[in-house]
Amino acid sequence: MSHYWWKILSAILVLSSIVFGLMAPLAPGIPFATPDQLNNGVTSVTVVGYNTHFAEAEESLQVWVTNGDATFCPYEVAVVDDTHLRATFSITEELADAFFDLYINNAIDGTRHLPSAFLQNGLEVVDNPRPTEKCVSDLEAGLDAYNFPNQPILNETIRNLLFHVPSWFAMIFVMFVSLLFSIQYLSKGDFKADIAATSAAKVGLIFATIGLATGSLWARFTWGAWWVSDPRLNGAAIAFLIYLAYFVLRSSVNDEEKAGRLAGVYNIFAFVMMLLFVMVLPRMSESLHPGVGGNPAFSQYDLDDNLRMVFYPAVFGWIGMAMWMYQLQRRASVLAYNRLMKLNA
Amino acid sequence: MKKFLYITLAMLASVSGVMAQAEPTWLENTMYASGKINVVIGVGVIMFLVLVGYMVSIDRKLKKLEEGDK
Amino acid sequence: MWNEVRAILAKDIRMEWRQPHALGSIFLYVFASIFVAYMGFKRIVDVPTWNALFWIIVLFAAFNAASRAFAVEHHGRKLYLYSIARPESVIIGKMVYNALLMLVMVGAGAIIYGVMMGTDVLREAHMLSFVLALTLGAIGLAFVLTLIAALAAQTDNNIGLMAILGLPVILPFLLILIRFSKNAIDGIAWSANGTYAWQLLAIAILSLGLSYILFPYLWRE
Repeated sequence: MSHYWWKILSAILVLSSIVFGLMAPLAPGIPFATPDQLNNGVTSVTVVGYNTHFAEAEESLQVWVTNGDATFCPYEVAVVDDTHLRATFSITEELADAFFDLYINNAIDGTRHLPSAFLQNGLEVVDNPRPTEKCVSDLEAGLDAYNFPNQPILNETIRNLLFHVPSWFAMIFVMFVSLLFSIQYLSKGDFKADIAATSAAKVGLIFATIGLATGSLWARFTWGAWWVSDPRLNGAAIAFLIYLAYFVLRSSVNDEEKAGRLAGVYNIFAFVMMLLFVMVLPRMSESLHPGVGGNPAFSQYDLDDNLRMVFYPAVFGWIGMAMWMYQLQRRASVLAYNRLMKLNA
Repeated sequence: MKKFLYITLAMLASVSGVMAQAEPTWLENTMYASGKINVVIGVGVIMFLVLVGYMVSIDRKLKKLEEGDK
Repeated sequence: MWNEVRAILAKDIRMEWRQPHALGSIFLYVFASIFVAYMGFKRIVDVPTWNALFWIIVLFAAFNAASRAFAVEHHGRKLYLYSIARPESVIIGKMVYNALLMLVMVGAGAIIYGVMMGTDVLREAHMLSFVLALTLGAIGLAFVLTLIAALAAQTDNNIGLMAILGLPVILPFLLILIRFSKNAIDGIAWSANGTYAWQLLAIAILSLGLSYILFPYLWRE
């Protein structure tokens, strides 16, 4: 039993991350509003909410749009149901900025907003507009409940953070284990270290496959394409290619001892190059590549404690599962090696 | 920085939204429904399938070892 | 150590002079691929295309040049090298030799490429940065690929493995290099573009250090 404790612990961590990650409700949010333009004069827009309570909290409902310095409230709001409402704006002022954020506040949901919900159309944009009157007052705090943040575009897929991202952590971890065993093999020449390095690399490759496939699916329905050119994605693809090449190298040399030596050298060299590319460069290049490039994801979610409470256990749990898989792989490989030695003797 | 990100995301969203309106394939209809929850299901299914594939490979390796015993 | 490196360098250069057809074949390769590109494109006025095509041609030339570094050493000569020099000196000597070869090749390649594809794109270029990109690119490609060539030379399937092992490892360097050189051609000031140069230099030095540490394990036989 004592040998199993970390396996049981990581299984429990993964299980709890799945259960809590899927059960926790998503915070109320505003996925979109149509049309996405505000015209000069009267514009009527339909706002679609998600997990919101427009009808239930109709008395306290407040709607407004702002572009940073000017704020406008609709002169008419018609609630259709809990997740739909129609708002009619009348805007004729001069403005400083073209993008409007949409805000909705009520007693149950608190304040929810959709950034850059509307683009102004035909309004007069000037450098120093007159300040507008404040039309919003007495905001409600909303009910305090455990939920995950409802980001625009991501919506429910924010839960993927608990599956997709830990698989990359697990990959980096077992690749690091593989690196350590490669170093040990080169310095000591112990065949068991070589088997361990290979097994760890194999498990790492499995988690890289998971990371690539899940990331691709996620990207398709949030960014709109199966693959986008971004330093981190390219780094992941390179890591995948490097470890495929590692196994090609192994299999192309017949002498076991030599194959281990060559693969060990390549493992160390490639790991350092990959780490440089995946971890260091996207951060250094960020100043020149803002926005979707780099890794904007974490800086946004980091602030949310609810998500973090599930995310960290998920990371440790998946790393533990990866180590478990690595151990199984290694034990089977050692058995196979011993059998081969016995047959040869 | 943050504003830029939002604007980019909003533009991406409107582009994909326009595309969805142009020809809403069955896949997009399924995946964009209910706050894109089906994407999460898809991710879970992918993870499960890859891990099962791994278990099959270990199983075959052990089977080969057992057959050698006889 | 430095004497050994110098000796190996001198030996490689002497051998190259004695067999000019081997060196000529690489230059012919560069010239032929530029000519093929010329037949396809005629003149390129688009900066990203001009830049990327140049570095892709250089990349494959670098693969060709690096894979020769160890393939030319047949077994008897390998043993001889092994007996006169430490493996650290062998790899450093080979890297420096490859870097020199690549510098000459990139220089000549840039001139031929400019003549054929037109130099209109370079009108607004930050010339100092561009020359630095050529230099760092030549040295970095040579440094990273030398150890890969040493690895591939130990296997039976030399040429195929060279590409499989080398491409993923060189890709980060290549991406930064292409970006740096494109910015230089666009005339972006050093203050905004200098980071890339430091990154290229860091990768080159890192691969030098790693090769120095790892090569003895390949040489053992």
